[in-house]
Amino acid sequence: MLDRLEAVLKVEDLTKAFAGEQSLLGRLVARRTRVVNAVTDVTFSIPRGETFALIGESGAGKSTIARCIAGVLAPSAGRIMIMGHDLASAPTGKDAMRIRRNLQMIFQDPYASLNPRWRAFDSIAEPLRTHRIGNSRRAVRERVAQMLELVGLTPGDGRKFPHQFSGGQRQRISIARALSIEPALIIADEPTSALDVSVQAQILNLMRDLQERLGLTYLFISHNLAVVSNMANTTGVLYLGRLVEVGPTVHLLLRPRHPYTRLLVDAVPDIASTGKTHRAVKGETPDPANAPSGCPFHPRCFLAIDRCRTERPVLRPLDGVQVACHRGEDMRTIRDVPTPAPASELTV
Amino acid sequence: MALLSVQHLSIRLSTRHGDVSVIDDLSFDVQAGEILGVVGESGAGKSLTGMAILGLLDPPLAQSGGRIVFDGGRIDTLPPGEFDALRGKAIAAVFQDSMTSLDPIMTIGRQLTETIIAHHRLGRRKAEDRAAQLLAEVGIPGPRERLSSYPHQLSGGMRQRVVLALAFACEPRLIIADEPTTALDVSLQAQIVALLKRMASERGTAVMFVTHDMGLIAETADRIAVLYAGRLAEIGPTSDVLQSPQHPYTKGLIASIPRVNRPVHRLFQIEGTMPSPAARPSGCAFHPRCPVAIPRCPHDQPPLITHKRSQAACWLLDPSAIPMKETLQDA
Amino acid sequence: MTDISRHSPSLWSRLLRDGLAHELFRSHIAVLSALVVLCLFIVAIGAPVLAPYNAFDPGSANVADARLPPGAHGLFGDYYSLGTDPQGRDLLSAMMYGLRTSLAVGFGSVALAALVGVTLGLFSGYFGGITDALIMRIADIQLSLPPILVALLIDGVTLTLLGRSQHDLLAIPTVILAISTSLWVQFARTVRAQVQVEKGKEYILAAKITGVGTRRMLTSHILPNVMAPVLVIATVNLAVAILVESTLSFLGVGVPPTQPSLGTLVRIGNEFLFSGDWWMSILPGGLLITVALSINLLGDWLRDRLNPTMRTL
Repeated sequence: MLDRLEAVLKVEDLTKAFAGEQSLLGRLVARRTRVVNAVTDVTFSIPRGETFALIGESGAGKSTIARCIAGVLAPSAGRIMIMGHDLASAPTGKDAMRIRRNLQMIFQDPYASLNPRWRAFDSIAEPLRTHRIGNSRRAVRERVAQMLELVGLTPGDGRKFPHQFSGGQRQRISIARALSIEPALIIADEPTSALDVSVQAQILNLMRDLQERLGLTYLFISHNLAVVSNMANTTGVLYLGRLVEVGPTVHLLLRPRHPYTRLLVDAVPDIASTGKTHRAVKGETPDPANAPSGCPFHPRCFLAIDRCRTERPVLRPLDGVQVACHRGEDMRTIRDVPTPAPASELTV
Repeated sequence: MALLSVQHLSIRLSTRHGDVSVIDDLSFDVQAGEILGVVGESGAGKSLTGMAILGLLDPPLAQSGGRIVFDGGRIDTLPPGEFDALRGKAIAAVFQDSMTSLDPIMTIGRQLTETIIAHHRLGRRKAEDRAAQLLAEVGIPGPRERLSSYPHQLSGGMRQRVVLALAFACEPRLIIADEPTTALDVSLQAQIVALLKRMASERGTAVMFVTHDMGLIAETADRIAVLYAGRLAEIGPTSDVLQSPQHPYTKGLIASIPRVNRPVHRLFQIEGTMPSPAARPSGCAFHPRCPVAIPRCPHDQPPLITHKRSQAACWLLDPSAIPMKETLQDA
Repeated sequence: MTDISRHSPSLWSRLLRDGLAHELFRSHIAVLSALVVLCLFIVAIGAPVLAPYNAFDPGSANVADARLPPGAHGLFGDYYSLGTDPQGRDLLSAMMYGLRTSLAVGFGSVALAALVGVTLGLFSGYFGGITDALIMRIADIQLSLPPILVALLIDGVTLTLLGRSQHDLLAIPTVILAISTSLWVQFARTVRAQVQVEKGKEYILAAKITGVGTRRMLTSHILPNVMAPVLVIATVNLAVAILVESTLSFLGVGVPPTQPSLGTLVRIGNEFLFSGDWWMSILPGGLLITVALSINLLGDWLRDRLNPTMRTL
């Protein structure tokens, strides 16, 4: 039904503003309520079967975007189209359910992602029951068993409670739950950030395998550039609620055209860089309520000029990516991010 | 002589069903002025080791064997009063959560000056000067004014810097840093770790850096100790352990770490998960997950075997343990 | 060790699996109070069968046998092990029936309070906003009124509206209503706090994204996870309810005299306390104290044991 290259998710000018914290009295007295822009004018799309990553540090707006797309937070402006349908135009009722059928999410905290009083079976079966898929109890049971096996667990595990599983296993159950209704889009919000390295490798491999087998589309949200580099086709870098650079992951991380991206990549500690200290980032991400004028990154930028303080740069195409920087061309002269030495592999 | 010597340390956890060994016969040293990275996954026991050294083990946890020797004197048997004097002065700690490391109702200036006065017997005026100096050293802008700020008025990164200042305030010989940057953004992590390394080297302070992040430790530590299921799997100079690891667990762990500029289609994965202390396998704790296990592994726990400048607890390093092929005559 | 469950499994599974029962037996006080409570329950439920005389049947009371001391025999040879009350009722039987009434009122009040409180707490915590503000303000107002006063008020109103005979018929439901109006707040507040915590957790978010309806969300997803403290509050409040009822009955505005509770018995016997007939008020009073104390001790023990932070491997 859907053209192979058609976008599963299309986000246009997504904007979300929150009312700033103010006392009741303050709100009565002030003429304007203070507004905090958590997300501004975010635009991107994801073709079927691909993974799009959103990277950013805390306060960048990743969670806000995820929640808007998931339909649990209403955007202040912009459009979100899932398989061509706009969730905002049909927030409840049958139409909403039809859209929600195409959308699922997996979360960061494996300990809070599953209802502690429910058996794994029931957690996985809930989306099936909600969407009335499976016309008999046996059909539901079979599907749940299928899902459990798909994620590397056994059908017998369905009878257990979450506290009987490890963190990695709980994430598998969350993935099984997300897959049960065969959604077109899965939002993965830091799915491995709370897991140990070896468990992370298992879960990331699982997600890749499933994507290939089932043609899944992922929106992958993370602060971990190494993970993103291994998982995403396309990446967008968020800073204070705006996309500062978007493009193929390989380009972004090897030849970044935005200083912030460059600094993020440089800041990633690598096991091959023993004894070396790299260029560290100055300062901290400012409070979104006090965003700097002009380019929000200018106070911490090593390429900042006067123009950066007064004029906010917009996204423009440059060398295969989209970048919001006045000095994008000058980034070309900075030598490429080095490819570190390979780690020793396990020889059998 | 090593500054800190952990010798055959064992820690048990008392449960309704009996005692469980959570740390088993752990031995390692920290030399004066060096940074030792203690690496392991959840449940390996790395935080517990730090707690034991700091004398912070509370029931149902308790040390069940071994000794901890600091600066030539045994500290695991010190009475609480004497240990309090030691802790904070000679051995300081930096923890993960800066919000709970600092007293929320005291200004940071007061927390600093109190520590300085308690351990150095300086007058209030001089102590304040020292405190401001420390804040400047950890990179807090406007240090004099900041003395009267409360912890909640500072950002996370600033707070962690204050915690560092507090730790260094008494010029300790050893700092135990337990996941000090895990809760911070990537760009901040690099800054804080660099700061810690610089301050430690300027003062000749040794640091025991506990973390799960191999990449972070690569840039910071002189030597690395890898823990698995409460035991030491491998220990050696950082470059040796990371570039030519000897223990199959270390190899697998390093291979499964995603690298920013070396994306792969499929990450290497070690099958299975680390056993809980109550279910530690017999012999070598890693053998059920080890792709190169030999018949001896499930039966005997391997000792630490030296290989060049490292040591690893693996039978594969002991030529006499590897079974020989049957000779033609026996066929 | 870092995998210690942060969510305690259900009470039943812990009782059976984790050996909560085993823990029970280790605490002597808990065992004792549990036994006492059990006995009291049996007596209360089985009063019609176990009591030597039917205390509520006016015919069984022999005025001629009034105010006999414990162990005495009546005019017609009836044995009164604990003596008789001013109306000639066997005190032992009266106490057993009284216990039955007291416990019934206690349970009824707590059940009603829990029903109302948990429901309001669920709505308040889940919907927030105006709903929350409204319910919490009502709760605040409720708390500022002393329970005895509220009970007196409700009782007085029904008495005026219905007249004495009608009022007596509905007395017990009225008392239950009166007592529960002051107890529901604690349930509501606790459940509300717990709902707010659970609401922020990812499994609820997952259900929302899936499109789970509000009703199912409240009853199946959230409710099971907020019930844990309810049991403890209920146990503790049972003793409170019983004592409030006794006070009301003592003041004469609780249960009707035809269905005396322990409080009523204490009141009746009180008048004769200083003339030397001690058993008529001291014995029912002692039983009342025993009931309240043992329920409280059991509730305390339960609260400690169900506290998730105290659980290890």
